[in-house]
Amino acid sequence: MLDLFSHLGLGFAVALSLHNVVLCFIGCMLGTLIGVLPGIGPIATIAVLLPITFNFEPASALIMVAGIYYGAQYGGSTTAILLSIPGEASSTVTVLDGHEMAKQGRGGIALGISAIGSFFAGTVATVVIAALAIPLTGVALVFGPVEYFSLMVTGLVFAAALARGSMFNAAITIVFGVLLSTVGPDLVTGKLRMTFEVNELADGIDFAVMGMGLFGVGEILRNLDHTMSRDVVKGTIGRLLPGLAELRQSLWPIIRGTVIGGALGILPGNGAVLGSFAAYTTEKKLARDPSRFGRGAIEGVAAPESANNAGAQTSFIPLLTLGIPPNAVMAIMVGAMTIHGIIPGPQVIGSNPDLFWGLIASMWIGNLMLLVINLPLIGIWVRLLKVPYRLLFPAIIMFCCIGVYSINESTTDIVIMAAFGLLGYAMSKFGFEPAPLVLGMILGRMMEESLRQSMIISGGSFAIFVTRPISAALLAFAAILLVIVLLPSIRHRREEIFVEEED
Amino acid sequence: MVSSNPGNARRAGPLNVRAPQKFVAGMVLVGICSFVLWAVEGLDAGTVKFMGPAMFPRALAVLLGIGGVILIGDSLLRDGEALAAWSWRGPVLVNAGIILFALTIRHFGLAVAGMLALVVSGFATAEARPREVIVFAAAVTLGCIILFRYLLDMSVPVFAIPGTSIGF
Repeated sequence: MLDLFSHLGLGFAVALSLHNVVLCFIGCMLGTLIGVLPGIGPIATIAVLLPITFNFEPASALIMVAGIYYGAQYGGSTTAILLSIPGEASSTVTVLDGHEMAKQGRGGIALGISAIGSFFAGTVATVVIAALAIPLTGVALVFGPVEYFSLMVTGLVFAAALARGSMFNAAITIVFGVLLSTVGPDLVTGKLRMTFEVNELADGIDFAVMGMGLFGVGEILRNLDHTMSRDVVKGTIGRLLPGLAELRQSLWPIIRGTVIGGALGILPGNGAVLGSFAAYTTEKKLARDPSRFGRGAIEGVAAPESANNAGAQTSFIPLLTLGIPPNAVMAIMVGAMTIHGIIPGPQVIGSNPDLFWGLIASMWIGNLMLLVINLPLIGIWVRLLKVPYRLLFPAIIMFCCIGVYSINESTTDIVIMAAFGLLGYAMSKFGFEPAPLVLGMILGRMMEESLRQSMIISGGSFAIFVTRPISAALLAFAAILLVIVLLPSIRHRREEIFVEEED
Repeated sequence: MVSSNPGNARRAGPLNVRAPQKFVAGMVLVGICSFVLWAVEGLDAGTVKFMGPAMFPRALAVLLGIGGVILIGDSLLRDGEALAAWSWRGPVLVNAGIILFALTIRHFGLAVAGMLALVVSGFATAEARPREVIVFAAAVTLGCIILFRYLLDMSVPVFAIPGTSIGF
């Protein structure tokens, strides 16, 4: 317990240096600025803003990226509530009651309770991360290549099961992502694979380039296909701070949302997406009058927003302790860390304690900033929502171009980005979501490495994955999940859920 | 050619494609599979115990190929979605803007590359208004020059004319 506080103390000492606070603040602001733009989710926001952090030392840069991440999340909620356009899957439930509240002139309160709920969830999740970090890194040390391989397989099975739309398509997308990760040098022999003598591919496909292509350019191409109806809430946003009665009404939903979201966020393979939905359903079930939901019930905003933020934060746990990103956003974080020369995983906590604890402390600071700085600025964000998309998207394209160029000063990278943009557009035309591709791609290299090591250990027998207890348990877990998801009744339910979300 | 008209999906012919979207997706996957198998052909696959560079990509490509075959089979047996409509204006102009940026950034500088990228991609939507696009492009280019060149100190020329000593 004392350790926990001394660690957090170290973290706050790092994160609270003036330099880092300013960077965290700029990150939050820029994150909200881009994240609030309709049709741009957190993944695209981080990808687009990543180059800005290149000039700073690793700890500061990551603190800034974390700020961008929270800002983007909050920006997404703002668009969901005021425009009824969810920037990502997890804010789709917020739209249901949040936008209704906005139509009733209570948009300010919806935004306020979402910020308060998120702050509470963020505070709890920060403590949870700090408490679990050391024991979990201990777990990581007993993991060998066999266990790592099984863990990643489990994570990818989760990702496929929880993906939007067809599970089969998600599985194919993941395999394709893993395949893309094999472009570049072979880990053992150093022989180049599928690089076609393009220098830029000799180190493998650059992660940031791919992210900006798929989620920056690709998203724009998709958005251009249908003119977005911009149903900015007219009239007043109303006061921002909820009253005492509304706070009391939201108290338990916030707490329950935090627990649900936080627990699901730790799961490998994008459990965080489930959080907001599970929290919303729980509140609806518990409510004395469920018919209020969908008509501007404040619980319907408080619970999913808290769950969303708690999950967003606890999904750092698998990344920081095991080095395994559980979802596409965390995959982008891996890209950000690698650019700064840090390989996320259990060794970071020992080799760069200031960076590790600084990052955790800055999560809390980021949440606090959102509450005290972003909320009062809501008027600016609303005005920004009124800038037409036809002016915004060329600017985003320009940021992507400059961003990609600034990584390696390579113009070939810009062309590769354009290719990924087209790939993302084409995939959406065939009903394939691009997010699992990123996850497969980032886990792919680790998977190949651990598979090859496992085979050397076992002498070429795949039985090793089921004879080692931890590995067998993980695979059994994945198998059970697959069976459950494929059961007819659940399958229908799953389809229903995602239909409601996609709407 | 694949019939994209769901109405006459049950047409007599050698191939009765009932889900065109899945059919084409399956064909593309089989294509990717063949391409990868060709691309890693010269590399050593090794043994299961000591895997070579080609083993992992080849296994994945085969998985993708199997997925593609399943999709094709499914598209012949069950009705499904027609091919989605593609628009050309958006992808073509946006990518033209990006390529122009890539071609000009190093030799002509940010001012030229930025204007080209912004103006060309600006017309990617049917709602574009010419004067507005140009004014906005100029403003964003200027903002980017200040932000990236001067505030973030990126090493990229602001404006240059190749073959002359003009460049800053």
